[in-house]
Amino acid sequence: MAALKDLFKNPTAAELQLTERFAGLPENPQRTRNFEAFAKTGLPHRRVEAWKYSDLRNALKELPAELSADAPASAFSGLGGVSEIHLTDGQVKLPKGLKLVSDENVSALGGAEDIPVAALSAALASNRQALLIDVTESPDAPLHIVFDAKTASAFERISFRIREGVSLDVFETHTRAGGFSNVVIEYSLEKGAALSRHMYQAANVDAVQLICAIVHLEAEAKLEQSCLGFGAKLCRNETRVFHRGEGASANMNAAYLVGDGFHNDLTSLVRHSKGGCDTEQLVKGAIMDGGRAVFQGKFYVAKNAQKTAAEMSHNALILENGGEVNAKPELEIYADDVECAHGNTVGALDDDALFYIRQRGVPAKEARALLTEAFIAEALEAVPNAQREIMKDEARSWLTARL
Amino acid sequence: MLKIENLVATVGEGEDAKEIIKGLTLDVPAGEVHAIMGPNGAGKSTLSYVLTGRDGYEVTGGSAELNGADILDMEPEERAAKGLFLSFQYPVEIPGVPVMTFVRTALNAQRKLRGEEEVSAAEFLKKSRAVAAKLKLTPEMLKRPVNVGFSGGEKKRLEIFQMMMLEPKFLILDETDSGLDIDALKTVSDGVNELRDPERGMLVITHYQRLLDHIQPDKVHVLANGRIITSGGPELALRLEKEGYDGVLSEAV
Ligand SMILES: Nc1ncnc2c1ncn2[C@@H]1O[C@H](COP(=O)(O)OP(=O)(O)OP(=O)(O)O)[C@@H](O)[C@H]1O
Ligand SMILES: [Mg+2]
Repeated sequence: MAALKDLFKNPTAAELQLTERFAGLPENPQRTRNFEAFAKTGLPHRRVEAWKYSDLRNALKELPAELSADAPASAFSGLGGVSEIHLTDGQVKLPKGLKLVSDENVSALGGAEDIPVAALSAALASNRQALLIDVTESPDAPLHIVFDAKTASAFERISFRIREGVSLDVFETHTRAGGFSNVVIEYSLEKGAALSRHMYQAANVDAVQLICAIVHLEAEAKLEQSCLGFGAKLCRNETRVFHRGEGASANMNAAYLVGDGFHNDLTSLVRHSKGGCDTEQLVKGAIMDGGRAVFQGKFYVAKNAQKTAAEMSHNALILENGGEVNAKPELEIYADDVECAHGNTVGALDDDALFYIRQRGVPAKEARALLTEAFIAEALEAVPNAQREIMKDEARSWLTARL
Repeated sequence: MLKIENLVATVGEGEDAKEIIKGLTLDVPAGEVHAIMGPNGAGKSTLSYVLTGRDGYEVTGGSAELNGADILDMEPEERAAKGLFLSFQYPVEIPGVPVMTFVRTALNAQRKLRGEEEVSAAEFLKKSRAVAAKLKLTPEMLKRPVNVGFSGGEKKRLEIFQMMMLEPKFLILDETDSGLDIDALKTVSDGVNELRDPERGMLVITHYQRLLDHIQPDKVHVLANGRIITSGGPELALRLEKEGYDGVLSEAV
């Protein structure tokens, strides 16, 4: 314990509590590697470049003792036509085509030093909260993974190996009442495999919620991803995509709505290491007074990743004075024969459009909600119908309650 | 029906406020169609915005009543629910909102404001098909976002589509004829004429006699420099077409 504590330079109360938790787990060299990777940075703060807009150390001074409220209700639970799995169940029932390889996956996380909080989750997730799942056959129905841990602190890890040519459709809901949650999800797609991953995130205003996905794409593998998120006291939803084989493609969209007191951080890094890979990213969101949105998107194109086609765009609407957006789109390109672009806009609702809608009889508040909903909906077009309709309803009621 | 008395209105704010409507009086009784003609910049569109309550226009004098109700203090949506409809000179794009969704939202919002029941999906669909056919709008066009990527003439037809769906009590058509080809002018005019009704009034703003051949006005007014400077029967439009505004303007001074 003393030695562990010394891994940190100047440990905060929360870091000491995390160390204590780690010390309580069965010893394992991989787990230790993960924890050491975390300890290098500790809880990241403003002076850590990748976290300069989201000061986790400050948001999580100490681990919360207990949860005092209920998480926002999920309109997705009990939705027909999906296989629902809860990590909190202890024993997960998996549909045909999926096989549980291990319920305590402690393998060392690749590149863990770069993703300290994912490493933390990999170090602390234990005892049926760290699943390793083999996907050998495309399941009949989409998988709905429910992340709604009821404990004040929650560390969860779930890893999928999607075998050659197999398709997996996943819907993730991440809801939290408060406290601290830290989820790491790994998807490794073999050649020609396909993953359709859609997410919904909502939390109470005092929750600190971290979601980090690491996606590996071998040749011709396909990722289709989108998310509707409402943020938290601090919510960071991070995606790392590695194009590791030729002709892989990723389409990753997100929509966000951030209200007073909420902070929503969408961070992504897409590494193109082989030629002929495509990435398309569209992020759209709206912010109210007292809300803060962060978008950090980076495309990295290695020297030999010729014929990469990658396009990123982020468009934000400030709905009220006092809403804040920090956007940092980045391209780092070493190949010369590529087509890469990024765009970023921040604006307000169009007054002419608002008047036009009101002239047709729609009250101001609804007109604003209609325009905003239509604005963000563009980023949700790939979500399957049933879930998309729920997302739109959620967005609409959120907007009409606030505008 | 629509009674405007000595209306004075400014555009812009504070130091920049500029008087555009300068004591305008106009009375359009129910069942009548009145045309407004006038040179560019006379204040025709400004009048239509003041009447419909657009932000940035301030009424500094006079009154405007629709069926006896003072409309100038109402929100734009309340005026719309009272039956006031403006076919915009420049229709606005509403990205991401399909025409059908938009019109149904508008219709139900108006009904709600009036304390009426929502229209049923089936009824709405049936009516929209019939109206679209009359205006030669395809079902595909009605699935597209409002005005986004529509040609100038298509936008004008879409304004009339909305008008026929919403069945307003008082219509203001601001240069609905501009951008329409010869056939579309006929189609649109037929649509407008179909709405002529003893209970309904219309104000048709145009530069050209052409439109008035199709939609025959009961009266023609000339608006110049923020006022109605002269009024007459349909023959006034013919005279303007021949002589231009100079003659009429100098007589009026
Ligand atoms: N927001 C504004 N700020 C300053 N001036 C304005 C503004 N809006 C309109 N105006 C001015 O008011 C005058 C009347 O404009 P309006 O659009 O009403 O003319 P109109 O009669 O409709 O002309 P047209 O036949 O060209 O459509 C013009 O001189 C115009 O420049
Ligand atoms: Mg005009």
